[in-house]
Amino acid sequence: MKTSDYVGYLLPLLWLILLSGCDQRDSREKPRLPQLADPLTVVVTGIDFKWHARNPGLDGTLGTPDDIQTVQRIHLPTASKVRLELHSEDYLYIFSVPEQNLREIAMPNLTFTLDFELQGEGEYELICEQVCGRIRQMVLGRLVAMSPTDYLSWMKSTGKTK
Amino acid sequence: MRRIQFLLAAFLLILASSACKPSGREKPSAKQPLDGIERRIVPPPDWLKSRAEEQLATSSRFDVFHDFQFSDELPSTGISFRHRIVDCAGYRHKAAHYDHGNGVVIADVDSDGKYDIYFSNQVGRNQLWRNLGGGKFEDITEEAGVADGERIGVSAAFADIDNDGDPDLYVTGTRAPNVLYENDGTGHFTNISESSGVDYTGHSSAAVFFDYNRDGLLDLYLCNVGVFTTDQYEKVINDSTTEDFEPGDYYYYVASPDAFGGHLLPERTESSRLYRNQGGNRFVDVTAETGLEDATWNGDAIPLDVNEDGWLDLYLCNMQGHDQYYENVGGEKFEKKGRDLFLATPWGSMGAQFFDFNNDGKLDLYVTDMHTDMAEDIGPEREKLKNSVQVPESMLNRQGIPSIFGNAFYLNQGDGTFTEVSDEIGAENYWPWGLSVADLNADGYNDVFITASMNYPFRYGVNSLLLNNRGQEFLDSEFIVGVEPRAEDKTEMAWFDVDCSVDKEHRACEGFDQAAAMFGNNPMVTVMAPRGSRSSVIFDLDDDGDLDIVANEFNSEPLVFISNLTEKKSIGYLKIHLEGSQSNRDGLGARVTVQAGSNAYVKVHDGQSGYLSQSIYPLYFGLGEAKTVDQIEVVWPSGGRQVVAGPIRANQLLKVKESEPVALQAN
Repeated sequence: MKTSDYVGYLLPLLWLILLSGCDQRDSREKPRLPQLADPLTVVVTGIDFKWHARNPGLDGTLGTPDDIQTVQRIHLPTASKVRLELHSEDYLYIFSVPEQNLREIAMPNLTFTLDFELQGEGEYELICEQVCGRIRQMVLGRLVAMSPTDYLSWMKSTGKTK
Repeated sequence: MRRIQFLLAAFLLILASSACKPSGREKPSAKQPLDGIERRIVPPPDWLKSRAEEQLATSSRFDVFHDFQFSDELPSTGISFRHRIVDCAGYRHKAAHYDHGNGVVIADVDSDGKYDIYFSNQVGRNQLWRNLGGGKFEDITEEAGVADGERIGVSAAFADIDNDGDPDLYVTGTRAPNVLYENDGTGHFTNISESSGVDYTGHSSAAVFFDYNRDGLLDLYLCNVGVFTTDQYEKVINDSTTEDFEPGDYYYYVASPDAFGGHLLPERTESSRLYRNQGGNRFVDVTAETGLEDATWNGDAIPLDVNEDGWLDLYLCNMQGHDQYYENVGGEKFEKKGRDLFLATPWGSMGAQFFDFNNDGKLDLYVTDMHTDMAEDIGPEREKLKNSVQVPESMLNRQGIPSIFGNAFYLNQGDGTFTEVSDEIGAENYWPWGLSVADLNADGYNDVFITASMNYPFRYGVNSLLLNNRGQEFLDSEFIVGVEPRAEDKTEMAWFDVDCSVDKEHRACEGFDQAAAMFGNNPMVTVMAPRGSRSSVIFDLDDDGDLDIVANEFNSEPLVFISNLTEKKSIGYLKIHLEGSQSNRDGLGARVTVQAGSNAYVKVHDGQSGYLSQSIYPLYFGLGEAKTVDQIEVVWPSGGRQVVAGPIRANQLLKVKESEPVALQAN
């Protein structure tokens, strides 16, 4: 093999190694965002006519110290599989988002689940209907539907500021 | 509380307490001094006027006689009874079964030939009002010994349990022993609850007397709802809104906050009971041995002989799930056959009646559904439609069985089957309780009065009066015949007071801070709420030949609708008082057919009228244009068939005693 042949093989190889090194540097510079669980399980509990939500924190696991707890604002990603685990500590509630065709009850001592994928970002009022013994106009909270990227950012920022 | 600041209350209620503000309601127009307290006068909602106009415009297509009026004559009757509620239906409102209210029943308690009225109360005394004649009444509660004021009452039923010719009385309550009173025939009652064996304690609802084993003694089916209370025992609040009620301190068990989901928890089941009358004023619980253990949240029931085998079956109204139908097998046991005959039933049934809608000689079944109407806050324009929004399946818990989300009307096909035709015949309405069936215009067809409206914190709902258009359909007529609007347009009343400086979290206090800044700092608010009826009974109160209506309201005084039918038209009718001998003395369960010319009118004597109520009173047959009756046939519960041959003069009360000739007056 001639010297020029070695050069012909080695130069592209060196170039590939350099490129590879650049890629590794780029990936190290991107923010580290966790993968969303599939489905993302969020616990929603009715207490005194307010929805309380518990989302998993950065560790992606519910029931750990970094869970994110909110009152009357339920943050969820769009275009992702979501499972709501519905509870109540007092009254019978209906979790209802007509715009997303979501309806399920929450009842003390029982657990009901809702599996869905949100379509479209935005905020939706969570109305307590007559079956709760309240009038239609009573808002128990809001569902905040966010893009997966925004949700991850919210999760990260909220988790940090807890 | 002695001062209510009107402007603040008005502002708060408009701004924040839309719980009391249905869409379209006008703002408060004026204030009215009442015993030194200023309260709002709330005009009827806008839609009520337009709805009245629309209904009145339909009367031109009525073939049936409708040119008569009911007017609320309560003030002239002397009746001062006022129904009162526990705080779970008011200040501490929650969706629980206290909002079902109470029954109203009639019977001739003192054998004077006039029908007396017994009002059941939730808080405070039940009251017995003696009919003095001429539309006047007097309170005989205390001397009769039937006040029963320490308990949270629910229903009442008159029935002659010992066949001695006078109506005895059974009253039910919430978490207090039910009470059976024996009548001595003069309107004086003795409490025989303990010795009788029917002093059940729980969450009782309607009481239904019928002779299931045809031994000539009336047995008792006691409806029990389910466990809807906690063990928290509280005093009912007294405030300025209760000053018009009887004074006193009353206590009640606070309702479970999740009561409306109680049917999802098996441990809250409280099966209704069947008690067999053994004679000697003693009853024995035969629920289990007759196969009637049932998990239904059962508020009311009717006895009916669906298969016409002579044995009375039972239709149970399930207020949170499927109704049940139990077929009586020879008076020995009951077989559940609900799905065979009535596959789809209303999901939230309250009341039922079994009667002949189209005069074909076959008895039809009408069931009202209240709980389904809790799913949706609909406008008046949709009240005649079934619900479009359904609660989640997990709430319905119906295991694949279809439901009807609204009233049901099962038309008897005559071949052992029924066809549901409620929408075709106009039997739907909004937020109904029980129904009373009677021929209000005496044209020979059964009409219907349905108590309705849910009170606080919802919008006003009209009581329904459905005139039967010759067996073809029901025509909405409550405005046409004067049942609506209410007297003096009073659709709302003061419900409770709130001190927003103390109970800042109360829903009526939302926005209080802003209002206080504008109007001062008086924190006292009187919350207004719509009126509403619960139970009703139809009878000839003033003995003028036409039928009147008495309704027990929720947290208010009763309605006493007096008809002027006989002033407007010459009518034909026949009242028939049954007296059993081999059968139970009241003749409950008898089937009566009146033949007048080519028309035959069939009625079953079951005492059922209105939610939570069973009365003892004569059957009333409207005869249309007929002035004589050709024949009366009675099929008694004993199985005996008795024929009274005519001609029989119309417009009289006829007494028919089992197996004895009837003294007929000359025409």
